[in-house]
Amino acid sequence: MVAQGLQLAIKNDLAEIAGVTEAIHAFSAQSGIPNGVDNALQLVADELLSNIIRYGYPAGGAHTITINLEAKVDEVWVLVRDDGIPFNLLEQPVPKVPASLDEAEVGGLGIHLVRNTMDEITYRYEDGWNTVLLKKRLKPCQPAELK
Amino acid sequence: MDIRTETVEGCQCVFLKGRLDIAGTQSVDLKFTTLTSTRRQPVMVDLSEVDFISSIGMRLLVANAKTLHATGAKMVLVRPQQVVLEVLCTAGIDQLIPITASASDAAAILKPASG
Repeated sequence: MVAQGLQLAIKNDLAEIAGVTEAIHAFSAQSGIPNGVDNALQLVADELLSNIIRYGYPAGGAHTITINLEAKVDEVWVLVRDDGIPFNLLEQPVPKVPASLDEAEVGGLGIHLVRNTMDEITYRYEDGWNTVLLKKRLKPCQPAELK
Repeated sequence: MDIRTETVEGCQCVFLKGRLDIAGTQSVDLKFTTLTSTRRQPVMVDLSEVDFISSIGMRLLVANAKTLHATGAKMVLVRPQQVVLEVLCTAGIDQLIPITASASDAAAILKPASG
């Protein structure tokens, strides 16, 4: 596979997310990305973008969020940048696993899903911008890598 | 997002079709609630034609399963596609709401509860 890229920029409007996931799906098909990884990329984009749009701009106003994807031989990289309030998803507490529906809280799963779906995540806040870089392997770990 | 209901294996079954993302979930939210927790009866939810689910879709399932549970009734999720099943398991939903590979398996869980 030759490295390929996708660059998107959207407004801070929840209605824009569907266009992003459609573009990711088309990019995955074009790049030969397996169905499971395609679904993971769409899921992560949906969760990160909805989180940014819902909570990142308490003062409102029009903002632009960028999403870049790059497919390489064995992995896909996702870069999401926004100028919302600082939010490090890696510092969020791990949700408690409820023992039953009685204890279950409704919601709060989005960041948990992102962290458990991707293979690597880094975060930085610089010059007023949140930058999240995520990696997803295209193939599961081989036994040699597990040693 | 489409939603319909019919009786399967002697139980009420709600069939969802499409994407349980923000737009899809919002489009069926009220009807799904009406067909599940509002009825206070055991229900299976067929996910075989749902090809994407995000946290907002799982929020809809858990909220209604939780309300049903409080009334003594159960919800069972049936035949999710592999990619949807993986997301449900990653989120731990399989620990809260039974997931079965067939309607007959779901009915076996629901019927004793329905008396």
